Amino acid sequence: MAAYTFRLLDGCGEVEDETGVNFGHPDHAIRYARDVVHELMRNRELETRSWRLDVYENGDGPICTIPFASIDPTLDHLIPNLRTMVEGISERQRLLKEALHAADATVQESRALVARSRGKPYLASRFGRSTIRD
Amino acid sequence: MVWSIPMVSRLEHPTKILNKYAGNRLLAALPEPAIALLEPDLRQVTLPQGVVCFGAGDAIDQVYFPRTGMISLFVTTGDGDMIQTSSVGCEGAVGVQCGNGPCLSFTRAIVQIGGNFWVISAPRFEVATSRSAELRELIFAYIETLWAEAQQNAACNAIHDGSSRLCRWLLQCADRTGSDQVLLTQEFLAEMLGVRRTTVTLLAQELQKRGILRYSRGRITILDRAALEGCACDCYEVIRKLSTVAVPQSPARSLASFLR
Repeated sequence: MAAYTFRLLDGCGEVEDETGVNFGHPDHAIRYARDVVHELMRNRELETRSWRLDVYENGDGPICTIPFASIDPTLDHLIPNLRTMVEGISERQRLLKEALHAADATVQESRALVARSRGKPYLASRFGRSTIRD
Repeated sequence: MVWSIPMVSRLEHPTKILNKYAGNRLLAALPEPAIALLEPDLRQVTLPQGVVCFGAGDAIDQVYFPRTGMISLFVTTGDGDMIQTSSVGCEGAVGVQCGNGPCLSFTRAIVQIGGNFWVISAPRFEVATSRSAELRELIFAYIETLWAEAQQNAACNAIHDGSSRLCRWLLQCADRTGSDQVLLTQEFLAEMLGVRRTTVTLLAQELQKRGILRYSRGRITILDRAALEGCACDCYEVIRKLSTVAVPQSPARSLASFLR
């Protein structure tokens, strides 16, 4: 039995199920992860189309990545070429969101560093995370 | 079998008795003569999370009026899965249908959030109901609102996403226990929503990342209630309004006015 953990990438950072679930075979973990993806995107397919779920085995590198668009049932009516195009666009959309999110974090950090250097109050943390990264 | 029911005239301090039951809005809404019929048989119990009040198909042997805890009603499927169809807190009661005579429960009732409950045996409750028109009226109105809530839940499960349903359940739990701290494990939340535990973990972490709630070892703290309401589906508001019309003096008319 191996412990499988799951990391969700939504373009605005990551969230992780660190507790994980034990499975006897990676295929079972991947099937479980696909079910989780279906549950996460159900009734909000458009909003979550750019998201991705990674599956980790015993804390090592991902054994599988599941882009939500790849198993989105609302895209099943598309011809293969068009579907591949939508999946590619969704992937690029998430990467763009990640870049914007990282830029926003850098701006916040720069402001905080400038304020701190001037001995003024600054935003120390945002949503539980330090604004000034280590 | 004949039960000894005290007469209203024997009640010495009706106001004190009414205040005593203020923790449960259904009991608090009862007029003095009706509460006097129940009072001798009502007893207070503290039940921990997970206690099964009655299973599906079991005879309802007791009626529970939550004060600080919450009871969830689950429908069980053939393969053992359970889906929550309704929850009852300080605004209502579980098992009141036995006021019309002995009956079996369709759902499995489990204490979802441990706490304090007023309890009365089903036969005693039936006798009290047979002697009080106000009690019968209130039970009828309450069952009607529960039925409306179950239908709303069915629609919600069909059309709303997991995140907004999770937000709705958390708000309802907070309302029904009167606290912004909800003591629920992720496994229990997963059962409530009919999803896998990992799904609940990821959804809760998303909300935590946005500063809406904090999750730690079975304790969920709502940090930004307004934001949580914004993330919840509109079923929350509908069900919240429904629960407020369940306990007025003329309940049936109030539900009708709610629908208008």
